[in-house]
Amino acid sequence: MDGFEAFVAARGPALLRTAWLLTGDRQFAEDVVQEALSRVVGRWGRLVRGGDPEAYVRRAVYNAVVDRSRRRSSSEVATGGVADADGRAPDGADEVLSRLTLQQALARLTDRQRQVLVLRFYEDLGETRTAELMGCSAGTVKSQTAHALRRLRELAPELAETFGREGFTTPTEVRR
Amino acid sequence: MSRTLHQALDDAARDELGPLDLLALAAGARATHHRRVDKQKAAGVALVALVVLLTTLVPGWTVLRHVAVPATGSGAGAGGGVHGYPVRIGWQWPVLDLPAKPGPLAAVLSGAGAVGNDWWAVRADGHRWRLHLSVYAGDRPALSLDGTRLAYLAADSNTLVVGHLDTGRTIQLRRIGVDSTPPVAAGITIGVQGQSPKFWSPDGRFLLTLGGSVGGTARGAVVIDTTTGAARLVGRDVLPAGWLPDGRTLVTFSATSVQDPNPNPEIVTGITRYTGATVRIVNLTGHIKRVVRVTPREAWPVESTLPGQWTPSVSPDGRQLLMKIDTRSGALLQRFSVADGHQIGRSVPLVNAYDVCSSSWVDGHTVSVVTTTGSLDTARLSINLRSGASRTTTVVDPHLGSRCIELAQHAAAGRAYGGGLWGTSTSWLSWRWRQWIVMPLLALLALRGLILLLKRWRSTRQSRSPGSTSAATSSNTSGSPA
Repeated sequence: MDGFEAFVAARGPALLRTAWLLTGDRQFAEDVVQEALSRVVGRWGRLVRGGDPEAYVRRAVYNAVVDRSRRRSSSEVATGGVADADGRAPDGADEVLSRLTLQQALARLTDRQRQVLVLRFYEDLGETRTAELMGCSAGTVKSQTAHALRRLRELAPELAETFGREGFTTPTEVRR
Repeated sequence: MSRTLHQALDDAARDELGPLDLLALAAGARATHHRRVDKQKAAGVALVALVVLLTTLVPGWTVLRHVAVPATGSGAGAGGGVHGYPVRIGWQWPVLDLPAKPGPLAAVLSGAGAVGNDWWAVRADGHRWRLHLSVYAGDRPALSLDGTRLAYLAADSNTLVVGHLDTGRTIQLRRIGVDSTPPVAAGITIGVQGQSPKFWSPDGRFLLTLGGSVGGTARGAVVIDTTTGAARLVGRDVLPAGWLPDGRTLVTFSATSVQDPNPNPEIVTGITRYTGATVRIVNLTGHIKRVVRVTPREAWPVESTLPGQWTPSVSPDGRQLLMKIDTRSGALLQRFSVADGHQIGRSVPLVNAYDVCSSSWVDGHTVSVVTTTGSLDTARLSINLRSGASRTTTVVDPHLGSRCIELAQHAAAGRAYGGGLWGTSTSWLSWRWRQWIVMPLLALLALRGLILLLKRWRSTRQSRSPGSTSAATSSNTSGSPA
């Protein structure tokens, strides 16, 4: 044992969440994370001495997801708004409902829109870094982000009310 | 209360993923890693094995071909004789002893030191066998014109042995052996002089060589009937020069010279100056049919060396006599008419020939000469005596230490085999490219193995040290947001 298992125990859930948000497929998310971890376990000691093994693993996860989406047709999945909840949900159920709505809305975004949202808003990556990971220009990232947010608002207008409009604004450039 | 998209995404992911088996995730990652490493190792071993196989079997390709295809595929003609020669004679593994029935050979190749007993038998495609344990030291094995018969003085019995390479039959001529090294083996009546050429008759029945009666003083050209073992001295104090096409008439040779007075008689009594040669046309009984006086168009330079036993050879059509004259400025090839002794054409100088081992005819105007250059590259040259143009036809790996190739006449006149990428290049890399590919690969493999062993040893040592694993085994199913 060389600390690898401890790392997985500590950072595995976060990695899996990122992978799931990027892919929308639990099984694939687990495969991607496992594959990324398998590529670092053989040189774990060296990476730990290097200081930031998680960055390497995240990078591997991003690359695996982006590679897959490049191979796949990037056509948007079926469009259409999420059916409005029938009537007002009781307090406490609002949060559950909004999570469900967000999951459904994310599932209806294209791979690229989903990735740009996750990288920018969940991973808090800057436009430049996101563009580098996605293999496109910073301008494309900016426009994709705008498209994705607009699409998310169309698919789930109630989320804007739940999270507040500032939740849908583009974050300032943050370098990771 | 307003929430951010970040929080919403995080909540959605947690909700979707639920509890996680992180130990299984880590174990799966390790298993995937080990599978990948195993695959890489297997691929590496396969690659090395492939390279080793290629680098060993490509030159030994002849081994496979020998097994897989009829003899015609290795330079043997349809009639059973050899019809080709190797372009490159080089590294081979393994090199086995010559079998009894190898099929027709193209050449015999001397090893380190041509006067020693290191010899190899060479097939037309360059495949080599060892002969050196069999051949008497100082002898020079001889192949018949078609390469199907090999005559040599056997080291174990000191007798002449004739191997029929196409049938596997070996005949030991018990009355013919080595004459120069007492005690002469019992029963030997005709002794063959060491370091002498052996000329096979065109039909492969008779051998013409240098020798004499054991115990007697007469030495000269000896004819041996290899079917009966009978031998006869056919000319005293002459050198054998070859056969006429009828196979029943032979040519002998003797140099003529005068002794010039020496300006320093206290030191040297005189200087031998060669003026020409006498050629005799003789039948099998020793009867002289004709005597021809050979005279060069221009007198041979003083201090030339002429009468070596390797010098004269008769062309296949019996019309020309080739001679090599060593002068202070280098070797010259000259040819003379057997009919009247006049010089034919011009002298052809051998450029960059540090040593000339043998010269033999290929056809009526082309000769094959084996030379060693100053850089000790031994090569066989094909020289057009009309134009003087020469080209390298066979090269030998200097690592073999060879100084001589004796080629069967039909092989020299046939097609070239092998050569591949390097042709007749004698560059260091052309002989050593295998070492530059195989050895680095093996070194890398060994280094890789050492690194793996070291890593395994360190890993084992760490796992055995107390408290080394306590911090790594806890499982966290919630984790913190990125």
